[in-house]
Amino acid sequence: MMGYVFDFAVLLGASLLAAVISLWGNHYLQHRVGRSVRDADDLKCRLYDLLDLAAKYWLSENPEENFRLELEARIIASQLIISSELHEMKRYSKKLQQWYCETASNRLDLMDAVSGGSFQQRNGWHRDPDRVSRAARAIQRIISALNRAR
Amino acid sequence: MKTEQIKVISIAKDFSAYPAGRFLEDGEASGTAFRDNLLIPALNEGFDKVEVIFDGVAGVGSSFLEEAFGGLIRKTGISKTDLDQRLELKTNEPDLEDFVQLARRYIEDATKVTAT
Repeated sequence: MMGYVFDFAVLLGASLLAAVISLWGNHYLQHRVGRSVRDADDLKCRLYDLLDLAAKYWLSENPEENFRLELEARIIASQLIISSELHEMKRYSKKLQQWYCETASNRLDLMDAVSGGSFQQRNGWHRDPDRVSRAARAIQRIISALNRAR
Repeated sequence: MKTEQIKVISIAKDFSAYPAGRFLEDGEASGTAFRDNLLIPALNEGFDKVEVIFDGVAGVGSSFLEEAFGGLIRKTGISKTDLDQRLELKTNEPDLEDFVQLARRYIEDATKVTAT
């Protein structure tokens, strides 16, 4: 009789333990997936904000140098934040790590396109819509690759 | 055995935490100022290697990077092979890795343009 009770208790304990582990694992996985989805959405928003800043900058008719210097400072700060978030994203999974590696050249294209503006206009300001197109293309490639990797 | 002589330049500590701009008239932290006042003298001082550390900068403008590193090829005529052996661009901060890569790309691009 005691043997049956002992076996039952062991089985019950093991089942409870398995249930707890399964619940915890499920919760952890959902939390992790949820976080990566939120972070990916945040990253997309930041990339579109950067594109918006770049468009304001490169399409502006405003001849004021201070206007451009302020925008350029915001662009550089935005790049740094995005760079940090991109780096965080790759930690979530192997697919995202692969995405990070595959889009390396797109990230450099983006950085090259969006900043460096007012300082490169030695002979006076002129608009440069091509910069915005290049930035948009790079962002589009980064985001579509991100969507495939999720 | 001869030990390797290495000159370490920290952009943030030895130059500016906010490097931006291409030409001298763009400000004190321009790519031209960095290249002419720190980078070229270090390469000419006879060190075996010059290490440029990006840690601590609050972002870098692409105009700064292009003029400092692409401009190094254009201005000095130093070969890419020599530069590969003697110049090392480094960061321990993951957020700054792309800035280092962009500087390397500008060296590559300037090499291609100079070669043609």
